[in-house]
Amino acid sequence: MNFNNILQEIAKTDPEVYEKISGRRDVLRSFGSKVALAALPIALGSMFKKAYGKTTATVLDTLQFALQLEYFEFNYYHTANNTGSNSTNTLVPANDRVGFKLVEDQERAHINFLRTTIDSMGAVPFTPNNYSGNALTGNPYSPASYDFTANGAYNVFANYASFLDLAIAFEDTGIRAYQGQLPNLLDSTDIMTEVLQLSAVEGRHAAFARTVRRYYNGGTPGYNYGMKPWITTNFPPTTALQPNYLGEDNTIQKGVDITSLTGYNGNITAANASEAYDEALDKPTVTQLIAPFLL
Amino acid sequence: MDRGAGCDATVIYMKMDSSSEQQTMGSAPLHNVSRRGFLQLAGGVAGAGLLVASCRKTPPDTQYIGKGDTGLLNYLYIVEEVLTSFYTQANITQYYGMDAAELQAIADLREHQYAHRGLLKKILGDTAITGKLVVDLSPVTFADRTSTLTQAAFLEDLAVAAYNGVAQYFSDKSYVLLIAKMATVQARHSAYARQILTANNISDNTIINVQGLDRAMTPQQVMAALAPWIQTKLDYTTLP
Repeated sequence: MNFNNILQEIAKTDPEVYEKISGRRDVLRSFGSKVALAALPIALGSMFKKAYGKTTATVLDTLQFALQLEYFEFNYYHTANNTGSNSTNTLVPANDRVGFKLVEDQERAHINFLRTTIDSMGAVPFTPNNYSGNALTGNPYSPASYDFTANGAYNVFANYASFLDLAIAFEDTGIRAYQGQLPNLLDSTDIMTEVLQLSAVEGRHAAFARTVRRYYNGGTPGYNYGMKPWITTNFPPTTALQPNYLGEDNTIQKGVDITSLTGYNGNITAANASEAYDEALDKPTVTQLIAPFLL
Repeated sequence: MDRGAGCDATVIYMKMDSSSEQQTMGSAPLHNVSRRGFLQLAGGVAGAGLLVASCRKTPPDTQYIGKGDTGLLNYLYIVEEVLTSFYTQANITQYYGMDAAELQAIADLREHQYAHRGLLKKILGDTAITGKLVVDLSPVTFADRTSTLTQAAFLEDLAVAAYNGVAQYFSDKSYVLLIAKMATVQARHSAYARQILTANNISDNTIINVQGLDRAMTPQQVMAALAPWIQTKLDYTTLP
């Protein structure tokens, strides 16, 4: 049995085998001489499990993070859709209620989808703090887990404009979070495709909340010129939400400055260039952005 | 990346191989020998004539979109070209009743498609399909608001499904991260067109399944759905 040959054979199909085994290249190379032949299969077994199990662990972490975001969004809409004592005194006006109920239902579907997927991979699905239900089948509504006013900073369930502004920021941030997680899923193409399908739905939600906000002026006729269904530069729905939009003004894609490309009349503007592409956010940044709303 | 068009002898041989495979499936290895013999013959005596005659077998009026990542990027380029032509015309022939808010948004939609199409073309460089792609806009009546917005939603929904479905096929995974950034913007476009046409109708159960997932379609499925919108003859048999 020639250990180095085994590794070289694996390296032919997976050039990163040395790196995957926790970078312990030197340890591995010394195996041949220092480890008793009888113990080698056991040592190898645990080492490869550790290396290749990492992919599954990364995918699971990513799905758990996605589930955390979907819980967050579902609870936000569920609370809003149930705020108000009767049909004339609801937070969400009658004209928009069907849409926000659809959004809520789709967030719930995402929770169920992610729970089932995580469960099928042999892990216990994420639950938010103070959640008391079953991780796989429980009602995802968990008012003890969230304070969407961020300790009074947002008058979110009493003021429809505030509700819309936060909905917009949450959806846009959710999209950015999904973009940021994609690198973890590139080798798991089935799940990667499903996550793309899921994030597209968040794109629809963002555009819905933004379009409603575009026409909602608290009774003033006209429309909000700067509020579009897409993110213009790093323009936030309200100043306090600026951190959610940092980096969204990027106009360079794949090393190409989009503003150097031709539009219908002259070059594409920086505003249009930024709007045409959503931008990724990494997990620590997203975690930091939603932290003020968690209990 | 390979050239987008031109002679591709490897493809010819592979095609022969696979068709012979079907004929000889389960039969004696003798057939393999004779097949090899045939190919050697083809490469030698009859080779010149055969290869010239079957140079990609793409007629002069047909555009070959390439294979591998090149084919996939050209495919997305075609999807974006249809959308670019659509919104260019929608801005020229503005539908009756287009107000300032909609005009602003529909001009944005056009520019976003220019931004997508232009980038894909830039990335493709000389592997981009050559010649003009003739888009057929007859499925839409641009003067009519309902027709324009309905077809906009149709094309945007299809673009979302195209991006979602093509990602898995890229060899260069950096393209996945790129097209994901475009896919969510197409989803925004669709929801907008749907919302201003019919309030609260940002999706329906033909577009989003019970798991809350948007569609993912294969390139072949998308190209079939786009057929009424494209006049140029395209050879896209290389697409998954």
